[in-house]
Amino acid sequence: MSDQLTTTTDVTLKIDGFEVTVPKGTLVIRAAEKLGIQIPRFCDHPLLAPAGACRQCLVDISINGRAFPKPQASCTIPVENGMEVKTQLTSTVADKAQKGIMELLLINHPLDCPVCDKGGECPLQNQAMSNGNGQSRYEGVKRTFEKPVAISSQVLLDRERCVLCARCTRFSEQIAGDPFITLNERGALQQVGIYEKEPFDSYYSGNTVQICPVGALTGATYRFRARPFDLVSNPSACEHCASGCAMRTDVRRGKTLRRLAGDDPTVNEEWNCDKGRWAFKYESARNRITTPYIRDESGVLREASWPEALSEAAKLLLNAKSAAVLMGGRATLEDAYGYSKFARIALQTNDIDFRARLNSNEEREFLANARPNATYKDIDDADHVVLISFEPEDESPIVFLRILKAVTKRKLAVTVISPIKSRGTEKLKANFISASAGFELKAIEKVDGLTNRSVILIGERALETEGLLSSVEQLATSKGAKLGWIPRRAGEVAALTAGAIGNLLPGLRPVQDAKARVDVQTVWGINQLPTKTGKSTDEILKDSDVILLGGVDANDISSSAKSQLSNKKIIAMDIRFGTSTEVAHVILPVASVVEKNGTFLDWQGKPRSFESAVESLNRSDVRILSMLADEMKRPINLPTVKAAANEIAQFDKWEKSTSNWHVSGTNTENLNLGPTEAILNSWRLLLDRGSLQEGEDNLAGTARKTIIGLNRTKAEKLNLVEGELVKISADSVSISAPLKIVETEENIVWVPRNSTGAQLVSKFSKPSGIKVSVSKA
Amino acid sequence: MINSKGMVAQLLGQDPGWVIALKGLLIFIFCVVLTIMAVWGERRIVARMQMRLGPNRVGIFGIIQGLADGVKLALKEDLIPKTADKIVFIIAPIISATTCFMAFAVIPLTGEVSFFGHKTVMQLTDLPVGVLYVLAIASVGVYGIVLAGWSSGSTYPLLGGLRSSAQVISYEVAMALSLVAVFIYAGSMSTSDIVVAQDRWWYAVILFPSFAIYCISMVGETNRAPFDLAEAEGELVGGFHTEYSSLKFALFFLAEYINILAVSSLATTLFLGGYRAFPGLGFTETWLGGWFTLFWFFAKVLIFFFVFVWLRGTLPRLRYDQFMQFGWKTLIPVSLAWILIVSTLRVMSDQGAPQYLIFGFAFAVVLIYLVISNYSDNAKAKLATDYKNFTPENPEFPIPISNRTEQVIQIRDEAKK
Amino acid sequence: MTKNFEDHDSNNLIPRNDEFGLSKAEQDSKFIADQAPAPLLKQLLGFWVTFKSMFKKVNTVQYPEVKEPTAPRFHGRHQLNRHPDGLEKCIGCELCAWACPADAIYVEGADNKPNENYSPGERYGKVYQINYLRCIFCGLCIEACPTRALTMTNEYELADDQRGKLIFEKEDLLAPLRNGMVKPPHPMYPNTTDENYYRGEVTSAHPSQGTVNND
Repeated sequence: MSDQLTTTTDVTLKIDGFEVTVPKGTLVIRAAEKLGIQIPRFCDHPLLAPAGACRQCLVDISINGRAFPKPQASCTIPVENGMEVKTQLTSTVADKAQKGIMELLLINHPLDCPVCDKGGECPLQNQAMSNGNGQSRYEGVKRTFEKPVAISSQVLLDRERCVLCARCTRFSEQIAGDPFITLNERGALQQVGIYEKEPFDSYYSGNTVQICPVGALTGATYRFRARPFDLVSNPSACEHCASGCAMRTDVRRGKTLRRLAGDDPTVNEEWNCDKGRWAFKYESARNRITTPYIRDESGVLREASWPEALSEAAKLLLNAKSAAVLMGGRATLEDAYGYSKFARIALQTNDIDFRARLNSNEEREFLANARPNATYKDIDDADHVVLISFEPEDESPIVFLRILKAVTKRKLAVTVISPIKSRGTEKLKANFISASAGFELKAIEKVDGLTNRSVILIGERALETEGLLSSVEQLATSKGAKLGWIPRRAGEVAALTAGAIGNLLPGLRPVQDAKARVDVQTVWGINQLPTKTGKSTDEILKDSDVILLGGVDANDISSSAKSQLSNKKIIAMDIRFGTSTEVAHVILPVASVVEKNGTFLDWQGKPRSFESAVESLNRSDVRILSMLADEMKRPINLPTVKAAANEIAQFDKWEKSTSNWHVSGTNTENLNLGPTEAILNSWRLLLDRGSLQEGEDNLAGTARKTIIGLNRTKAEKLNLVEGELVKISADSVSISAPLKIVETEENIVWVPRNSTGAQLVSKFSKPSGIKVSVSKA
Repeated sequence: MINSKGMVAQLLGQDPGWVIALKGLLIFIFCVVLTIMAVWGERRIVARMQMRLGPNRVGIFGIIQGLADGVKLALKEDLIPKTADKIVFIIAPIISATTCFMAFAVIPLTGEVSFFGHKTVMQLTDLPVGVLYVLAIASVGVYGIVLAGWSSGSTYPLLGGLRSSAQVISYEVAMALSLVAVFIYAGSMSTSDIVVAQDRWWYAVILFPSFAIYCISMVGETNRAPFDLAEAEGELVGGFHTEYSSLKFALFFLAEYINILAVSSLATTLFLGGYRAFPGLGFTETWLGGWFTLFWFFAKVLIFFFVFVWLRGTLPRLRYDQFMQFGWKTLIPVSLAWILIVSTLRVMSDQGAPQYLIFGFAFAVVLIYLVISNYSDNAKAKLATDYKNFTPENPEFPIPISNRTEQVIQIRDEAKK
Repeated sequence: MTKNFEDHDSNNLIPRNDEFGLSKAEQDSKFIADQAPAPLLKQLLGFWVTFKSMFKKVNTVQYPEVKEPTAPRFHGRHQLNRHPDGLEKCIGCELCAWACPADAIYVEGADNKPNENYSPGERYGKVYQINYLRCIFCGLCIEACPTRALTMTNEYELADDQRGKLIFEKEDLLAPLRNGMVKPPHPMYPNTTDENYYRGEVTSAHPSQGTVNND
């Protein structure tokens, strides 16, 4: 609310005869809430700038005895010393005014409550009952519009119901920076509308559905599905990206029907992105695994019972020459801890890696030694934010909102080092430094203006350039700036903390440090831990012969991962059938996020615990691992999520150990590009072909289209016209998509990494930094 | 034609074995069939008293309802509680049922008849102490109740059993005392002799107080309304037969109804002249070769049964302490006083006292009764007024002081204000 | 002497028979257990009452041979009504499920596709179940229904032998299709809105809506 950088003084005023002291600049309506007095309102929202559009919050105000001649909108008036406010509880004028406004609002409001999704949780309904007349005096005809209008494939607009509070337009403009909806026309015909040529193409459109006080903006997925009294709500955490949003999951009869944004002022305030809000259908998809499977000699999967499957898996693991664990980045803290302990105790090895994606050894050293210490608050207080290999709008939308808030409110300086100037970069009004993947080291030298209040945010993609992570870390340390490492998945920071990586034990303790090993041995009650640093993902795929996969999709790792896996003995623990189950010998079903308890750590390291929302027979990963370890006669004693959480709490904080891990980058300046060649660059869009977004067609309809982005000069050189189908190819693999002119360097071509028609990881040898040839399709 | 004492005993003494066996069987069948009909009859009669029909679905007019109930009970699951004493649990209903049947052994059902060519009376045996035998058998029957209640291993049956047995034995005392007058007048305890002794006047008329006391105590003896607290469902679930199911319960059920019939038969025999016809219809006693007397006997038993059902349909249940009080404090003293009077009158008439002395004695009795009742009324009134004027400082009679007394005093003082 | 029930002494410390010498009116005004007993003949009159009622007309109704007709607004089985052109009145708003005190109704709403309407307007009840094992036949759901789609018939013979059979689905509850109606889904009457339907202005089916039911 009030900017933390300015000093505040307190103001004392009287509301309804009660005295209250609030910081200067507080609005009257907030001060009243502090006393527990609720003044009805529609357009007012604590996170949006005041508008005074609806006029419902009228109260009688007088300052130092001098009364305002008319009742005032309390949501636009800041408090003053000596102010006396009389709300509807003590002033008949205010009460009558509020009743009158309510009556006027209801004149053109359609009698839609039975068919309106908002019924039951509608502020208009509630406030009409508490602060409105009992009867209507209107006998004319209400104005009608055609309804509903789909302003995007996910959001439906019902213009008749709109009370013109302008919350949606203000949100889109001020918070999300996507001014795609406005209030058009005037008077009785005023309505919310979209710009004709551009649909409501915003990654945050779902928030307008949540803040709309009436049923004017509704979500297509939840339309007509249930009423509030049918739903059981549980606070939960989002399992998609590492932003760490608080969520509220609404379940009816064991099925998740919607996920709203929860309120956490330090993380996501009250917002979330469309993916977090609407991509939950995957866990009830048809290809859910419900029983264990074993692949018999002829290669066919057959259903098996749990004891059989567990004994088969135990046999495979015990007879392995070298067994390893590959877990994805979507496990909770307790599950990751289970994997970590399982590898060390049951498999007696450090060969475990949670990076079931592109990875590098430099990244492993970085994760073990660098201590990223940036937080959301640091962004709020920063004077300069630098984004390197990190596209916030696509990779961590809430971080984007945070930075945008600072940019809007106090003109925060932002520098972005990225291949192309994305829409997010434009919205942040950032200083854009174009740098292709592999060439960012040069670009870093161009960054200036860093102080100890600055924040450097580096994304997961930084590992794709050798030496980048090291030089960024050194830069941060030298300037005293805060460093933040933001992975793409919700479980990566938790997995790191749990030690699910080859060179770390739980609590960021290095494997090679004897004292660290003793720490862990004490908590686990064993005498000896494996001392050899474990293999990384690539090495596991090359060398290990039996791999335990926990929520891994081979198409995320590399183009050869799937064939490498098919040569090994695989035990797959997953929720749905996919690439890992195609090659697995034993398949064990696990619980999805809504079916288990757990904790996610966001990119700051802040934990968010949640409890299961849906009762089911599926077990969490840590429980299955405990059963498997018992079967192998090397128990890990983590039968429940709570047991794991309790054990994690027994670890003390580990002090950082210094070691020289920095790697210097190679100078790949000269790549010898031909005239039709360019360097491939890509990142994953927020809404793409990710497997957690499956099953939700409405959401997929709002995904950005697959395009191939080229510099204007380059396009002209290659005689390519915008919108034309263009092909890029390398090593006899090619993809095509329409061309789009983007602001970038001449030798960069940009394609979304995992969108329809462009799944780069599984197709090309590397999704960024390789030479590709560009031509007409 | 049985018209003198001792004739029946003589007649029965000549019965061949097969006749005795057949009679026993017939009596058994007669009892069981009567029970089944009684079940139906009771339900229909009590229903009509409550302005509804009774069971009318099972046979025509629901006649085989009793049979259906019996079959149902037989097919139920037979449970024996874990804490029950198995042997006693099983024996108890057997005792109850058996003793009821045994009471019929000495009841004369008909006068002299020809039974498959043999001249006999429809009475299994005739003991000189027949009625004493019946009373003894009834006392043994109490064992069934007590053992059932105790062996169930559960609190409700135990309490119910104790209450039932206490009730039964106390009313047995009253019953026996009321019969003493009958013995004095009849001069014999043999049932058939008592029937013979009633050829001039039924004892129900000349010994009316005995009859009244007997009727009341027979209702109390059989645990029937209004004295059925011990088995009322709202009070003690099922009383002594709570834990019983299936056939053992059926036996208790049977025992209760046969008990009713047994005491009714005894009442008929001792007070209503047994198988004799109603006054003025004496000529019917020879119809059907003497078998028509069975009809008379049957009619009188049914009248009693109807009265049982009538009582059940009309009267509310008495509380346990109320009817125990009634039995011990009212019936027995009255019985004793009546016996005294009867025996005095009898001795006087035997010894040939003049009429005026007999009447004078009767008049004196009446006078004494009026004086005593007046005195007791006055005493009660004085007691009441004394209570009204009671002050704790100087009580005229000792009262146990308790918290309640003080509360009462407080309430009354506040009411006075 | 107070007439308060609570003041009645249940501990027998004050003897019950302290009313000798009181007049009848005073007697009758006391708590019933404190009144003096009635004279003998009066008490025996009770027997006459029961005896007399043996000959009165019986109250029994011989169901199932005789079925007494129910009152016009009897609370029986529910029925989902239709508009005269065949469209269902139920709009799937779940107000009946909301009102139900026994949680007997389960409703799921769904979208009407354009020209494939099940009900006038945007929304219809796709799943509609009433669990007659929970329903208490109070009628609150009928009071809650905004379109009078839900009413109660006079049918009360709903007993059955399996639990599953007593959860009535939409097909079991929908009013039958009458002559002149068109089976949904079909378009609404041309040039009408759901408001016209609600006001009862649509009284028959239009040929453009589909084939009319004629059996």
